Amino acid sequence: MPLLEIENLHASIGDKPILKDINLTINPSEIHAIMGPNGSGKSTLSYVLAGRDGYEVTNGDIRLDGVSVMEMEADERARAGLFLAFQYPVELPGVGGMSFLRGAVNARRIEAGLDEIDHIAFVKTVREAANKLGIKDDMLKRAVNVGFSGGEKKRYEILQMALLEPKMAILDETDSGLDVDALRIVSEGVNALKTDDIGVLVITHYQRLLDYIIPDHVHILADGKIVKSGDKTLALEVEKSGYGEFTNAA
Amino acid sequence: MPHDVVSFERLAADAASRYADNGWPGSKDEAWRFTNINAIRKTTFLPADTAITGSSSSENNFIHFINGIHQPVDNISFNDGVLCQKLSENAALSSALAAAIPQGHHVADFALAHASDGLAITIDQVVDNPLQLIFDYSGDGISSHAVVVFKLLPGAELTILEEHKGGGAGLSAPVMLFCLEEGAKLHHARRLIESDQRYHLGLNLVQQKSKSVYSGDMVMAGGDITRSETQVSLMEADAQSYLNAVYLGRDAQMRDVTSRIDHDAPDCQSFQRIHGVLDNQSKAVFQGKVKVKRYAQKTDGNQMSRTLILSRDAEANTKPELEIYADDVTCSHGATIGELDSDQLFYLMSRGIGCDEARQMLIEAFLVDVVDALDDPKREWLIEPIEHWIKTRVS
Repeated sequence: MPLLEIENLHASIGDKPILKDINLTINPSEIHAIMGPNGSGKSTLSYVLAGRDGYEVTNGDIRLDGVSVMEMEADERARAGLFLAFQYPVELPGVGGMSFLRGAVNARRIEAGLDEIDHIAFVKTVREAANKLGIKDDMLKRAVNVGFSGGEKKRYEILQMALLEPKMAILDETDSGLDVDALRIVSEGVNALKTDDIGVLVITHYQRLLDYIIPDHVHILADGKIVKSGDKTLALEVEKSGYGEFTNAA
Repeated sequence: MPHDVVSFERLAADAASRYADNGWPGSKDEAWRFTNINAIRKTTFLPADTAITGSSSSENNFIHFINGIHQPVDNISFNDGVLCQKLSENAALSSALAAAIPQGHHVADFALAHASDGLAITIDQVVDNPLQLIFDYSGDGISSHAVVVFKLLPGAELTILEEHKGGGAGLSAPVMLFCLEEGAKLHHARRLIESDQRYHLGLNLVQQKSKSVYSGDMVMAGGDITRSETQVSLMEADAQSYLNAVYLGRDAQMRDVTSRIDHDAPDCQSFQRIHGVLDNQSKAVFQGKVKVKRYAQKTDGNQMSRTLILSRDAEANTKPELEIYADDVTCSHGATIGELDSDQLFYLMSRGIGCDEARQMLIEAFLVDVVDALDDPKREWLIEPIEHWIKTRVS
């Protein structure tokens, strides 16, 4: 069964249509990349998939594991296994990092009919996962994303993804603001999660992230539509000749 | 500064005659413009029965008040360094109170007019064990007016945990004076957690000599109309004052945090942080006046008020007043009133945390921020009513 199906998706902000008939199917263990210029609707797509308020889906359906998520709030979608790594992770002053991570993991566990995670075991799990991503213990003790550099925020997103073990991960411009070293660490983190059945949707403006996270399929988004799909060579083509031909086509 | 000697009886009699003349403040009184106390004005309260006193505790440094009446002083055990007397038996401190009462202060006059006596507590060293002031209220139509004067001698240090709790449709009007001599330090933590039908109009007066430090931390979570007024006089150089407050309002409750800080000497600092959350049709006002006299150079005065509104019907008012006559000062004030941040809410929900829980987490973070830097037991003791309020009310 496909993991994520996006069917005839139309979405607006206010009266303004942003997404105009998106169709996309992602199977387990596939990595898809959506590339597009600024204003093509990339971030809107990630927010609509994650269930953010303020976007009106005017037509179409989104199914996760065959189940429509259209009536689900953002938290229900997350507990059903959808994960969004934010382009701009949000600072939460006063919300302690560890209690935030534990709250998120427990929400997922309770939904799955499991007990809440043991406090001490969890601290150990978090430290190990953080260590692999080059996240220092000191960062874990701080409030969520407060005082983190751009690169640290992105690593923290990947840490959350590692702990939440989603079925379907959406990475929204995860490469923006990352230097090459951070890009490599973050990509290794994503690749390490690529188990047999996780699906990944990488949303990006530039091709360079796709040197590290190799996509099976690449789609070009322009003016709210997927105007071309192909394999990883399509990304290289865009890198060379830009988005001009697609935006004109759209 | 020497005061005229004023006995407690004289103090009470003078207040009674002023109260008879002036009564309660009206809505035209600037200090009460945002705080409607019609419900209090219309009620005739009877002073509490002085025969019913607080019960003694096996704990040291624990003073129990029932409807404002403290247990007999002889029944209280204190740590070394704490001397407690009836205010009527300490003319120096009753005189100090008489001199400190702001002119024409309705609440002070009401309280002193009706108080049967007060407590005079002198601290002459560093006292590690916190002094607990526990105020229990009960009964309808009863007014309570505890009067307590503290004097911290030079170098003395004390932590006070003050709690107002209990029920009955009554009025509490505690009046307290804290005189901090040179280098004295007072941590004053307060929880106002009376039940929903009560009224509370409190007045705290703080007088600070050189190098003294007053740290006031308050959580205002209970009562129908609840006002806490603090007036600080920084009388000598290098004194510091911190006023932190959290207020929580819901239904048709009224919350009033009023402060006045007089910088009367150079090189003093004052810091005020007030965070409030208002739900339903509740209303709040923070009015903070900072007055810097001409010779109070190098004053550092900061004031920040932030209010989180959970309902379209709630109302928050802020009234900062800076009156500065010195030319070499740093004074700032800021005020924000807003709703929960939708980006933050979405971020939490996108991690699987339910909407109610996410809201609770954000509200708690906003409020706890004010008291987070405190040491335990004060920190835990102040966070407890905040958490309780959030858990029972936010959904």
